[in-house]
Amino acid sequence: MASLIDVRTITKMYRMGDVEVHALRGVSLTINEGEFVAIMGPSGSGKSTLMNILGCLDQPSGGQYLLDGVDVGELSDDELAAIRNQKIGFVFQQYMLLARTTALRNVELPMLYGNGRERHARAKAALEAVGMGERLDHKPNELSGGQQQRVAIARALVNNPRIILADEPTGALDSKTGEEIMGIFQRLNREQGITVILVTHEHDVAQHAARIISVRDGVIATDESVRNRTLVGEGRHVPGELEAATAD
Amino acid sequence: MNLFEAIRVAFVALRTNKLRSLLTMLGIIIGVGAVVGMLAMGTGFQQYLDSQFDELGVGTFYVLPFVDSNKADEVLSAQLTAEDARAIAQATSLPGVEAVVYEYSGNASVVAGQQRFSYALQGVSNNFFAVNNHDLAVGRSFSADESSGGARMAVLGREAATKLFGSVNGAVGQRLTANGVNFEVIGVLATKPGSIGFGPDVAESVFVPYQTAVTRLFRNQVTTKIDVNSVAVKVREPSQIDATIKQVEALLRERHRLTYQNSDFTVINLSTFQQQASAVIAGFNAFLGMVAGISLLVGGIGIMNIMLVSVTERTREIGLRKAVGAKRWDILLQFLVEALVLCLIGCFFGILLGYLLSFAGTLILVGLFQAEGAQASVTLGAIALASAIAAAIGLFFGFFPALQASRLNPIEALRTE
Ligand SMILES: Nc1ncnc2c1ncn2[C@@H]1O[C@H](COP(=O)(O)OP(=O)(O)OP(=O)(O)O)[C@@H](O)[C@H]1O
Ligand SMILES: [Mg+2]
Repeated sequence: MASLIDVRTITKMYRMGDVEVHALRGVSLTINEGEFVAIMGPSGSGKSTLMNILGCLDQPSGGQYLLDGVDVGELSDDELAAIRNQKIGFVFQQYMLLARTTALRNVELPMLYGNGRERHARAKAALEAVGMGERLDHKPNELSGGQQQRVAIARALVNNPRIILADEPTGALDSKTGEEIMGIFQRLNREQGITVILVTHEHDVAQHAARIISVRDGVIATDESVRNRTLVGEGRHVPGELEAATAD
Repeated sequence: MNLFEAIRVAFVALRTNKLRSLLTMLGIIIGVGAVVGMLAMGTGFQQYLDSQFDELGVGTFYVLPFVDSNKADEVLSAQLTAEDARAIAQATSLPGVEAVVYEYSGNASVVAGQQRFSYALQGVSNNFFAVNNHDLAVGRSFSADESSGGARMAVLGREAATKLFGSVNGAVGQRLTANGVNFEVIGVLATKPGSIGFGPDVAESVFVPYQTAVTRLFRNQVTTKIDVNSVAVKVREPSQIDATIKQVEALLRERHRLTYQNSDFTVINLSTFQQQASAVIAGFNAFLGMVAGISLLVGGIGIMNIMLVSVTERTREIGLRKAVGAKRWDILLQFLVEALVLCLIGCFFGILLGYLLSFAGTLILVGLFQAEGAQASVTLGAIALASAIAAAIGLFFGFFPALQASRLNPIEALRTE
């Protein structure tokens, strides 16, 4: 079976006046359906650039990117928007929730631009899946950072995407809360078979993935599977359980 | 994104910045208020003029004993007589004629008791009052017999009656002397002063039978060629007026033994005046409309300005919406609807303001233009026009900011602080 993500020697070059910045210098990789991948690397190595391309927010300057067998390079802006809407869920470091808007409305957002049937019920179900079923009418400024990120994950989930892309999802959270968020990703990956790709600076966080790709100066330096993977017992855990799961 | 959702989002956005939204709307509110108020005043003035012309009688034209040099090849001396008027009234070749009224008027010094005034004294054919819709406040007017018999009876205008006898009701039965001739007052007219009319102000006139005027009062002034000041011809149907004018001209030329083309009289059709007056009002409206339009333009620029600010402030939101699947059209629609909602709410309050302004308009019409009884009125058409303009401004000035928003690159938009 063809890979879900098939990237063939893609490059990305930014032109800043006379200077050319080569953010990606030929990256090839394949990711299969259901994988859990962490991307690591020093600052400026091109991780975000790669994630943007994988998420169809940006297009490569050279090379080819096949997503689910479709050559993304051929598509128009609006076609890319439709793919993002149906196949991809984004989780950002800064949560990116709409201020003065309830959790429920925030989660409904992707459904405004695609299949809008049973919006309320589906948004509620997504929030329940990340343990936020009791906080439907809370606005972002009434929620903690971890809770906001849960709402953001619910938003990424709500259209039943094939892939969740998370660029430093725990970057703004303390380690305990970050752990909880990683637990949710693991559960979604395990129970719903959603492919999860995340960027992180922290080794502890990357250890939750099944595969770590490290990027250096716009190329892939290493690509290996994780031994001694950290598994969080339950996404909606009690604190005691969490400590037990992360003890080693 | 559907329209309903776009409207909801627009309301949320406007509510978030209440004061800013209100200030932005102010331009539209004032502009729309001005448009609606001006149109109300123009409409009121037009209605007033129409009613005035209606009072004069729609479909009446006048023949005057003047020579319009444009209409005669040779030098002619004017000619028009009461005989001519009677001929027009009796001609079987003139089916469109309903009534013919003729009069001879001049100034006379009028004495009643100790009071002495100079008044326009009009000798009128006895159908003058009925044809011109001059109702009597008290008393009666002369009968046909009294008229042809040269009776010494007078009907007074309202102002004349109060000045001479102190009141309208007290005038009937009193006596007055005009140019030395004694008259009995038999009636007073109800017509208000200042109404548009042909000849002297009705309220300030003294009316006597035509026959009496030409035989007793103005005998030295009338000639065999001219013994009327005007002949008013009322047609049955306003649409027949042009045809009837031609027929009357032909008849008079024949009676005066003139060739085709030549006239020793002048025909005046008041409905052309009415058209001219309407054109003046239309011009006045257009001018005021332009002034109001400029203020709307300024309001529109305010809308555009605030929408650009709004797009800049919400760049991250736009980036997020695009990341989760918003297409260009979705973003365009969202901001266009926001500008539109802003304008239409402004328009709503502008219409209310215009409604208030229309009261001031009424005061101006009555006080400044002396249009007694005129009322500025806000019409449905004016409301529709104002709404259409406001919507057009929203679309026009909202389009550029919305387009800019729709073209934002999602990555860059998400990265902005
Ligand atoms: N829009 C852009 N214009 C110009 N240069 C860019 C742009 N985006 C990224 N770059 C450059 O491309 C390189 C890779 O950037 P990228 O954001 O992918 O790094 P990163 O690995 O995500 O770093 P970090 O860990 O700090 O987030 C950097 O040198 C960056 O300056
Ligand atoms: Mg980055």
